[in-house]
Amino acid sequence: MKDHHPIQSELSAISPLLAEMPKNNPFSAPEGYFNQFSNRILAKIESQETEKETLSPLLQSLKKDNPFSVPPDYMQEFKVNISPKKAKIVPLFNLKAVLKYEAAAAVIGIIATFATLFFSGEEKGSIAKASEETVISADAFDLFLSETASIEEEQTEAFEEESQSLLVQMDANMVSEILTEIPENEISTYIDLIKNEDLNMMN
Amino acid sequence: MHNDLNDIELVRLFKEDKNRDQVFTVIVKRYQERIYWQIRRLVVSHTDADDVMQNVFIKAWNGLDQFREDAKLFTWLYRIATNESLTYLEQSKKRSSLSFDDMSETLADKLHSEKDFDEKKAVWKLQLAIQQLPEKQRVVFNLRYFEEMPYEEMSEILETSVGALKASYHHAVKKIEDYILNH
Repeated sequence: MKDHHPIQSELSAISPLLAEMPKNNPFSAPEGYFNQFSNRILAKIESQETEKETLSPLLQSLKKDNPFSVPPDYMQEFKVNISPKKAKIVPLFNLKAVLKYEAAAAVIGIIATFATLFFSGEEKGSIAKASEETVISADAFDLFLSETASIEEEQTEAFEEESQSLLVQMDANMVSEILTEIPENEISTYIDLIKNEDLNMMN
Repeated sequence: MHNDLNDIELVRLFKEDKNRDQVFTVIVKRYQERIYWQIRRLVVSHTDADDVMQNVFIKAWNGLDQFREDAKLFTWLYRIATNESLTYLEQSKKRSSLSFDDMSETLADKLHSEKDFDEKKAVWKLQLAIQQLPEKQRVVFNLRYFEEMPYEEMSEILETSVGALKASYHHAVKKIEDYILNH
């Protein structure tokens, strides 16, 4: 069904309150205003025209004459030739873009490789050395161990001999002199401590 | 004499420079009241409305020679009236260095000084609410609510899309409803 009052229906849908309000015009114009207005406006227009003519009759007379002319039938034949714009074809696979990315990736790769090599040069040297050492044969390794063991034995023997010689150099008088300077209770405490350490070791 | 002629015929006669004064008088008499109330609702006071009316019809006189016959005379006059009203308000605002809120207050003050003003009456309350709206919404609301103008015609006058006008009218109605409920 056709809505005969679409404007009122629209208003009722937005605001039933406003749709119910009276649409009376609360303003008023002075009496006779509309009867006189056309005469007033014509009088004003006339005075303006007179003013223009008085100011410059020549310009006023020239105003409406158009000095320009157009070729005959120009307006009837006027057309705007708009050639339809060719739609831009956007390829799904853009080779140029791929090559660009590839070139960028290659440059980054080269820089990264050189940087890695440069910063890890020392580490690599030590790794190379280590790997060289691992190539030593089993016989050489056994020889190395036996030599190391003999060197250790020799060093232990030398140390013991040195200790013995130091002990021999201290005679009994020297020891008794040292001991007389130490209080008896400290000596007994020391003996107890040694005994406890021995017992702990045995356990 | 020319009262029976339609707008196209009147414009043609005016352009042919035949009895211009008489032809123009018919045009003025035909549309003056509708144009006046459209202006009056925007500028509120009669004195201001009269100033704008004179500007509108002087512009119409000067521009009628270039008026395209395929356009509607009434739509053209309405467009001049709306633009002149808004320009008038803009100039008043600049002269008094007023902001948007100040301008709304000024228009509300003008309403208060109207001869029959009564704040308790719904019609005046509605006018007070309309003065709180931004200019464009005020124009759209007046044309739709009071003039019951179709959006298509409004679109020609205001050079705005129908969708934007609908949205503008919707916002305006909601704001007015809020104002009425809270005052």
